Amino acid sequence: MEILDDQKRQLDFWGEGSKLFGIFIVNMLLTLVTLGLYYPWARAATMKYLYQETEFEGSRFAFHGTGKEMFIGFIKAIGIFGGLYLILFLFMWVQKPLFTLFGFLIFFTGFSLLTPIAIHGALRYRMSRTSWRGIHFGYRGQLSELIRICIIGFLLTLVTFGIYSFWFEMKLRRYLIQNIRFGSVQFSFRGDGTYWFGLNLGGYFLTIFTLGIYGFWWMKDRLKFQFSNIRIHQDESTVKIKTSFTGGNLFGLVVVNAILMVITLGLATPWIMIRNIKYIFDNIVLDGPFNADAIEQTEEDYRDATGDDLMDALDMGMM
Amino acid sequence: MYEYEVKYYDGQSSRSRSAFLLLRDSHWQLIFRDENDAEQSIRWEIDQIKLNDTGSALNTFHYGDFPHQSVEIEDPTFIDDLRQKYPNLDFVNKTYHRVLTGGWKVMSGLAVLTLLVFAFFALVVVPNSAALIAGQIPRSFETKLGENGYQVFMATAQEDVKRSLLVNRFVKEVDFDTDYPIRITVVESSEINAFALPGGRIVIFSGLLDKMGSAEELAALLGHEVGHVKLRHSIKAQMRSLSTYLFISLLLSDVNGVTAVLMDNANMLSNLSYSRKLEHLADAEALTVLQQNHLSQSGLVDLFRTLQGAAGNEPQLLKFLSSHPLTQDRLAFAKKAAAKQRGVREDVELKGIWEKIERQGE
Repeated sequence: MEILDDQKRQLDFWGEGSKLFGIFIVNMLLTLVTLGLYYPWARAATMKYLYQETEFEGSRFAFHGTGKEMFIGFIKAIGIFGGLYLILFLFMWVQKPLFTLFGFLIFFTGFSLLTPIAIHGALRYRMSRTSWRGIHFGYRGQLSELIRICIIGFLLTLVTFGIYSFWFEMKLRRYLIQNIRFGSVQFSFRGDGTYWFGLNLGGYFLTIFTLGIYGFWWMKDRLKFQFSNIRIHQDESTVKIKTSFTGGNLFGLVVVNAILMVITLGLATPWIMIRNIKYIFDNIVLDGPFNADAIEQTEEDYRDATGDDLMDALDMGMM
Repeated sequence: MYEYEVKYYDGQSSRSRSAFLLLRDSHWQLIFRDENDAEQSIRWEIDQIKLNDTGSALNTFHYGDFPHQSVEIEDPTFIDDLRQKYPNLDFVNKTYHRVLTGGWKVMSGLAVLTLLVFAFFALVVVPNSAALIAGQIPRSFETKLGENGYQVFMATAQEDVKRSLLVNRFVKEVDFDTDYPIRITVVESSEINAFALPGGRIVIFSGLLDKMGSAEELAALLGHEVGHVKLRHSIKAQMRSLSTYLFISLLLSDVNGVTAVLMDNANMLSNLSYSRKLEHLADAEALTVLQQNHLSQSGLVDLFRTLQGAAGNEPQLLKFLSSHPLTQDRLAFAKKAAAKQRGVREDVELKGIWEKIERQGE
């Protein structure tokens, strides 16, 4: 078994705008004629393509989720939303203030529980459906622990008028990332709330003072923070992530994207997506000893897409 | 024949193995050397082999249940070879595969087709189903909706009770040919405006009443607003904008922000042109009411002159953007109708009420 020491590795992306455009057009057409029912399959087709074209150490990633799984999850997600609204509606129907209050209480409690439930389910599903060299990722976080983190986070954010949200975000990220498994490979996130708060506070004011110009450097700092604080652990060794984002190249990316978008009335969306992915991959390097051949299959199969669809319905992006 | 160099993964570990894939009649055979340099052969039954067809130049095949074995094949002709070797088996959906690998011709053809289907939905299906739904909404719901809007509006408005009474008396003397209960509220305001709510409530700002000069003009205004009520314009417009919104958000659920904004603006423009159409229909209603009550249609002409005086001269640019058709256009339309009108009689009763309204405003 060979261990390649001190090697720098990068992710490669082979996707082409024209191919993604084809997938988008088919998605659009079928979503249109099925009045939206095709949407889960459309999502699966896009993800499959993007994963298939992502390469690490000479092997491609694969997305195993199917439209059918996501459709079932979608129906369940709608059921959960519908159920919550139904409860609220029934309690209000009685037309007694106490009942209305109670209805609202259940409704809002339900809704705030929905966020951790969605994140938990989505991560389990997304991770389980992602593989590289036939080895599946997994998420081992506890739902009860995530709910605890979220409730405390919500409350503290509320009483500090939003300031705590930076610490909350980091706590959440640390918990989620440290529970991701890839065989014996583990991950961790080292970012802390104070630094994140300072970075965003400074970025916000500098962006205002410079009439938006500093925004690109702020974005650069945020990207760098989010990636360079991830650590990958294999046995005793640790892989760090080095980034080379700069305000200047980010400026170029965003401006060209915006011009492309406007002059093509949005038709350039697939090319822009590809440009964005390539930009990220080109600017992150995995630095440290890593044995790509020594990962064993350890995680179990998980096919319930409800959380993933809830996330989609709540309009929350993944990381 | 049918031999390929592939990368093989056994589903147990991440070891990448170079292997030979041989397509046999009843199965696939994979041959590779293991850690001890011993030759290994694996058999894949055809019916358990699955491909994620993405149109990528590199294809990954999975075998069996979780944890899957898999092979990666980077060979541009592989899919075609599969079709030749197993003509009766479908590893890929032929149509979908042709689309994904079809190049520019297929792509632009599909783009045009998508655009056509989109136009069909946007221009035919959505407006018509909106109108259909609007037609199904019960009268009681419409009244409730109007009543709610009225309460909200009146919470911050001051009613001119005396003139409200007089205008309601005026309404009783005119036949609007509707079974909606028409109730007028005159509100203290310098604004030159009036509006109708679904269900029959109409609000007139005292500023407009002050500027008007005859019973016919008031009748024209009422005819116009009652026209909106009668033709259920408010509900129709709302249904239409709601259904267009739903349609757009359905389609754009995973498309970029800029496109969404563009679509939104297009939607606003189409709503504006729709509401101009509704205004025109209400004008026509007003003319009918005037005719049926033997009142002079020049009342509508006067009304437009009043509105025009209030708004100043709208620049041409606003013509497309304004929600009401340019008063000039409507004026011309009313003039044309009034010129042809026959059978006008003087209505003493209405004139009497109008004079009282006028005196009340001084």
